[in-house]
Amino acid sequence: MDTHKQEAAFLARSCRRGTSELRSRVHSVRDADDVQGVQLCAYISACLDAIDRRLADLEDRSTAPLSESDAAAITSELRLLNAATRSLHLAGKWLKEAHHVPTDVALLFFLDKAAAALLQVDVEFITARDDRYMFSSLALDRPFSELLEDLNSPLPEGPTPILLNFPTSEIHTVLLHPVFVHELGHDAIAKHGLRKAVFSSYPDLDRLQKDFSDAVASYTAAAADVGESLSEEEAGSGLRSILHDWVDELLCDQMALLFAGPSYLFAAAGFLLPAAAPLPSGTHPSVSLRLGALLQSLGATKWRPMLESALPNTMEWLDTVAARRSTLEWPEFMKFVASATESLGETIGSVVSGHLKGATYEPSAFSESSNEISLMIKHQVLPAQLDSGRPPDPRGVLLSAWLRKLEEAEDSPEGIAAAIADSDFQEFISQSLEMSCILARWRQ
Amino acid sequence: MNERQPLEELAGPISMGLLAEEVVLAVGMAMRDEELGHRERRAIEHAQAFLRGLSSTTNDIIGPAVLRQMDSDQTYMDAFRAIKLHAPDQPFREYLEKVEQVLGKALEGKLETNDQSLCLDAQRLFLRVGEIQLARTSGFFERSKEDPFSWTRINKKQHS
Repeated sequence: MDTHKQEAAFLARSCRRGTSELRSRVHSVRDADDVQGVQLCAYISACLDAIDRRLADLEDRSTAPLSESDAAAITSELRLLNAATRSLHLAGKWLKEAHHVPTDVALLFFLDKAAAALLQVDVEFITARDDRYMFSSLALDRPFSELLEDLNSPLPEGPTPILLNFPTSEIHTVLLHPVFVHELGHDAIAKHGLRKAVFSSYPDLDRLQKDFSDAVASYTAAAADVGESLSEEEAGSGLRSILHDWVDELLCDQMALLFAGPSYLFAAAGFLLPAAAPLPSGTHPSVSLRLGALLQSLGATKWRPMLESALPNTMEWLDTVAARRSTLEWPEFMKFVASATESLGETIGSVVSGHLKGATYEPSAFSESSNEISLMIKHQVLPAQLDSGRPPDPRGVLLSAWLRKLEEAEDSPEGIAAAIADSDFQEFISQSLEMSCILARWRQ
Repeated sequence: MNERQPLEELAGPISMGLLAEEVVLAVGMAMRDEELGHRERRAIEHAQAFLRGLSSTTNDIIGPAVLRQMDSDQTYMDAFRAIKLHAPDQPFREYLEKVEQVLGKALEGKLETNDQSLCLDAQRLFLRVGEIQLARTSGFFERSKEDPFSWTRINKKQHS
């Protein structure tokens, strides 16, 4: 038996062990009651079947005499199939979580509406705790469909599984739920090409392109200064990554703000500001830049007067934080990225407005029921049903909750932290949202 | 946080790697005058699109997106470097054009004797692309997170 055949047999056997083990885990989860992730199970099973079929095909090819190139390609492809199987094991851990994570009806109801607006597809949520203090989401159709396409297999039909990661300590922090809308924004960008839409509709793209080219030269020179030799293409790729990541973050902030309303401003402040420096990273704009964009957008969308009337001191503090700048001198290419993202601000806003269409939360919609909701919260009556018999918009309940707590804190920035820390109040709001969710479903 | 989940981050290199290896096998079949099936034809067509994408990309603010596998800058740069390593002395775009043309002939079943050398070279190129993608996937399971503050290292000298 020749060396290639022996190696191919070893690699195929290793891969089959991986697919078999994962298949058992999927079956045990799928056969359990009340499990989240049914569609995820279907995706994983489809990939495992496709991998097994490709394994069989490659083993079959290996039985014939092979050129050196053919043998090398088959061996390499078998290794890639092993890598693909191991990558699917990463998804397997979410299936394990399916049994243990308490399902928050209020959260899922709120995010169902957000997903309908941002992603515009049917979804199946899978929640998973993250030991890191971080919120994130991932629409799982894309990575699975890519692998299945490569293996000539179709993606199973049905809702798109969306993974929601959240910090373990924030499972019940309903006032931070709008942060999830930002995370769904990343999937919306990928699914609907929103970043490309921003650049394509920017009115002065030629000038921006020229400034980008100049900044690439600056990036290359700065790298050379510290002994890194980059080609123009490498430097362009690196700088483009930074710029695109920053634009994505601002797009997601806008989506969350326009969909959820000012609740997102307070949630973002509560989540981001405690540990934020004015320094940007290669993946995120500085918090002050992000906050500035949010505050500007609140002005453009006519929320600002209501907020200034209700919370003048808190809004003034947020303006101060947004105006802060880093004490470090930024290199020219980072200054370009900051300036470019600021210039793109208006275009980002209009792309998001166009994408959300009627799903934007307007001040007029809030004012229709805000007094009623506020009164119920003040008197500790669950704001689950309005006088009209309808359930309130969950966005209105969340915003009213924030305003109530900030007013109780006498309009001090500390009120943001105090609101998030008040678990009893959030339990009350969460129950309201659950009840209103049940009412809404019953009325359908 | 736009922290790309590991599953998503692995999808690009695995996809690019699988494509590269399928191209090697497809070209081998064409060289032996074997009939190309749907899978082989699709691999060669994607490879042609991949080469055209690399060839036509300028330092564009929007970035390359000709082929799904090249949607990430990381995968695009891996492919770019693979070609530079493979044919360092040849003018970049001319070389890509030559390889794209011979793939076209393979697709149409019109390979000639004097195409053999370039076909073998194309196979070696795609084996190299595949190897780099495989290294990236195996490196992924070991590595720590890439430093999002690496730009401050570039700036180091200005503050030293």
